[in-house]
Amino acid sequence: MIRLIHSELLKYRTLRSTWVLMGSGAALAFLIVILFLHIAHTSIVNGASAYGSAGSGIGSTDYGSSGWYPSVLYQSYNYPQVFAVVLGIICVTSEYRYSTASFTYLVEPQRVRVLGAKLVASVVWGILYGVLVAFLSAAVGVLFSAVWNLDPGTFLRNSLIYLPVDLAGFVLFMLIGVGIGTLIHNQVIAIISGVGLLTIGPALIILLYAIAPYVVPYLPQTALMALERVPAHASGIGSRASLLPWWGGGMVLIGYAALLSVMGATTVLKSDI
Amino acid sequence: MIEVSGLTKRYRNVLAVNNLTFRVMPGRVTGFLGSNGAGKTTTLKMIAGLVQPTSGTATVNGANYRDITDPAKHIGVVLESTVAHPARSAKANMLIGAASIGAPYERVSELLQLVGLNEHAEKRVGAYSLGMRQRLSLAMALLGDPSVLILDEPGNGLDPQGIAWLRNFLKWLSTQGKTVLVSSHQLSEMSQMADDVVIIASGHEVASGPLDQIIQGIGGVEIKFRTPEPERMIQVIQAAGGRAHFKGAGLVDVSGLPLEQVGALVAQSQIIIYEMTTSRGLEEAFLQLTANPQSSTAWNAISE
Repeated sequence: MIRLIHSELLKYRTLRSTWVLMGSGAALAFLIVILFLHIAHTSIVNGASAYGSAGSGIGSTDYGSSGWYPSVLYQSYNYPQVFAVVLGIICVTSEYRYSTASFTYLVEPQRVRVLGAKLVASVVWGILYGVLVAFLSAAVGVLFSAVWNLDPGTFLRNSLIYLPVDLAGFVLFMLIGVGIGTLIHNQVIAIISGVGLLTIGPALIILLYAIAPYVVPYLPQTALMALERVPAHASGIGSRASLLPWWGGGMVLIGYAALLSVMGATTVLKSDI
Repeated sequence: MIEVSGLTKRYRNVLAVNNLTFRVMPGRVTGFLGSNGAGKTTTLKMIAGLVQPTSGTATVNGANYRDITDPAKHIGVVLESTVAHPARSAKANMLIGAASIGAPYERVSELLQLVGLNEHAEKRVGAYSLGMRQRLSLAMALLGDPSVLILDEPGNGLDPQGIAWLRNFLKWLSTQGKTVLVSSHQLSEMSQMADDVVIIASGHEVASGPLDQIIQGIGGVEIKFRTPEPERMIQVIQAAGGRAHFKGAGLVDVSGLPLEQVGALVAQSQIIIYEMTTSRGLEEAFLQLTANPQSSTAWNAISE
């Protein structure tokens, strides 16, 4: 099993798409943090109170309040976490797209072990990716908070407080990606499905809130918000929904990853290569 | 040794492989022959545990592939020319393979050298020619230093030098005592490479055994003569029960008789010969055997 995990770690490392997606995710986090800090800075300079509300929408309320910093961090991690799903999907589907699955299963005919190795390798790379994004967000946040007379200390403190759950978010989204890839072998369809589900999330939440509000806390994105303890009032999509406790959000995401992986494993075990 | 017994694969209404039984012996190259769609790849995949048989068994060194611990250390399999990820370098693909098999990393450069890709090791596989990818696939199959090698159409995409290299390489492997099973529909190539053959058509086995015996049974070798007396040559051969065809410019193709008998007939008749070449008539045997696959099960001369 150690050999398989080593091999799967190498697969991530030697694929250019891994670095492109991680780099893009980190760059996105960088831009989002700057954008939010700039909005806060501009609003304060234009006369809004540092603790006052300005405008409506995601992350725009109560600049400088205790809830504002976590919501900025949530936004800076949220989009890179979509890339984590894509990474997880590619980890599995590239094997089928480029026919390397046959070699993989020839080396280890017990396919469940291969899936297990992929999940473990995805945990490791999810942590690496999460650390990269968290470090960059914190560094940029502290720097520009200082430059724009916000509160760099609070930004740094929040970055550290929320680091474990943020990393958990990255890892769980990677695992969900692996589960989707195991279930849907066609890479294009798998990515469209995974990213589509996450990007239409806000619209889906609003729709479901109207017809089945009890379902909303159990959707991947609201579960992630719960895990990362995003204040509901500070998040556009969360403002109308009640969230689970943070551990409940984590359990829901683990459940998604486990369910998809088990369903995928069942498919992989039966399928001819 | 590879043993296939009653192997059958049915996909809904399509019977892809029907009741195949044959053995592949160590120290010999066995050609697995069949037209496109005959069921060769499906059979090889069943042997390698990638496709579940509907019925029957396939064992390698006495065990089902899926039950073998570290199978890549015993069996090297190349089923497609694209076992390597195109976005990775050849070396990266090999290192990943070595890591999963547990082969030492030194073996990677050793094998890349062996298949002539060491100078292109850092190049992305996507930029490789088909022939280079075939060589890389072969190197990956050899990572675990297996005693059994199963190759599906390894000659596809290879240039003449590549084919000659492959032929010599597989022959060399067989002299090392390895069991080599090679599928192909390139009959001329197989006739130079294989010691034994298994011929299938539409999922049915139509012949298996030593190549010479199968060719002999169907019509013997093909002999091409260039002679100033083609008419007399044709008469002599036909009188002895063989087949002879005039090809123009003094050329006569002879088949249907053992080589020794043809030589004796030519000597007795004192026919002048300018040139004589022989080729094993695998193509003729193949065409005859696969013309009616349902009725032909006569050639099961598997070497013991």
